[in-house]
Amino acid sequence: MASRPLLIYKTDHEFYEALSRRDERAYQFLYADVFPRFRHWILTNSGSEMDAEDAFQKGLMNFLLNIETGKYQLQESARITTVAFEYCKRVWLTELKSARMRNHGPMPDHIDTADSADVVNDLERLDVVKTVQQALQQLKEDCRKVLEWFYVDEIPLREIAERLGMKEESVKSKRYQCAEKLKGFLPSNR
Amino acid sequence: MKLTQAQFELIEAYLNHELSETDRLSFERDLQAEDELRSAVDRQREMRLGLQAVGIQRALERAKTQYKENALADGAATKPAARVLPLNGLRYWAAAASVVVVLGVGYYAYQQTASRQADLAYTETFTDNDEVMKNFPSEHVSTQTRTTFFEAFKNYKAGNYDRVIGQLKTLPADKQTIHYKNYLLGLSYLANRQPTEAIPLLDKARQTALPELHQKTEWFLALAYVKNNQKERALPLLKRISSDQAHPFQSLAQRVIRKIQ
Repeated sequence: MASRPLLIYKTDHEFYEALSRRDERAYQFLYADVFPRFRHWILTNSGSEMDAEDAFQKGLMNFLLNIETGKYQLQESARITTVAFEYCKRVWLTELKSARMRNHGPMPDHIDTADSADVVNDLERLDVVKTVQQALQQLKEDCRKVLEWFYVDEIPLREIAERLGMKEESVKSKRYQCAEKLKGFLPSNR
Repeated sequence: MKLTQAQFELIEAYLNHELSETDRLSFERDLQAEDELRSAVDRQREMRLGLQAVGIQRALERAKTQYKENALADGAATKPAARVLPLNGLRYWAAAASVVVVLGVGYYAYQQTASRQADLAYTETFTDNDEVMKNFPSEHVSTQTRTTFFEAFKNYKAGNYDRVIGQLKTLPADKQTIHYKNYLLGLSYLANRQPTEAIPLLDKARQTALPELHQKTEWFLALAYVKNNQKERALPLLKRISSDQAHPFQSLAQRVIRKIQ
């Protein structure tokens, strides 16, 4: 089925490495492999279509950030797609639990929420991420471009200097000034 | 703590694991001793994490778009039948949005605060503009203008917002197409997470006499205000939409109001 690209990585190790470097094909495979199963699972666990997309985005975001930051290391015993599914699943169970607590309703018996601390930490980290992303939108276009090129697209300062027709040292100063401006938009209690 | 450039570069080098063993140990000793420095490092780490996440999110959005395009090509519905049964008003929109190629707006999809509902509502309604373009004027519009618009619309559907902006920004406006231009440009800025730029364009497009275009423009303008943290401007618009039973976004507007009030 075309919506499910063939896995082109011979081992989970190769797949993990590809996800670490944000390889588009690896992302596409992960999405196509995990989402349909996860969507089905959500729909049979008190969730809606929108809940499925929402929890899936958060779960994958947590998982991929953990891969890139080294918090998640490849484990021989667990398939990557299984782990990704588990991340998304736990996001939903945590949200379900928090909604039940708000409404003072019991959790269904089959739902185990014993180990949600990590998920809560990851979700809190997404709040930080969101704050930074909102701050980024407050910057002027030139600053936002420099920061995005350098930190998001990982373009070297030298190449950014070429694009802007500036000296590398000037771009370095600009990166500093823009980063400080960005931090200025973050809440001071963080 | 306002950093000097030298301090900034030192923290960057530390976070990139580029310091020598001696320098790293020395820096970590300073970290233990100075609360202010520790807080500056945390702040810089957060900034980098947020920016790193932007890259991941964009790659995820591309994967999502590709997945939906492939699913469409397969003819495999990715949404349940129940979703598309009652094809009236808002439900039509939700159903249509579920099968149209989804564009790069998931940036907001995992937000948990007041704007989350607005963002989800935005995602739900953002993608279907085929109807609007079907009504694009066919008379008194040059072939070149018409071609440019349809190419821009194609780019918009493919998520190439920068290209849409480039195509339409300099296109001379005329009475027939000015509202379409402002609408499509406004939506593209909004999708590009530039609500400040989107607002004046959507506000102008709202002057259109075409009812459907007016309703859509009004809705996205309200969401642009929400995203731009201008609740005081978003609320009157959302209230008006939510009190209009004929408005296709009535229920969504009510949902967003509940979250931002």
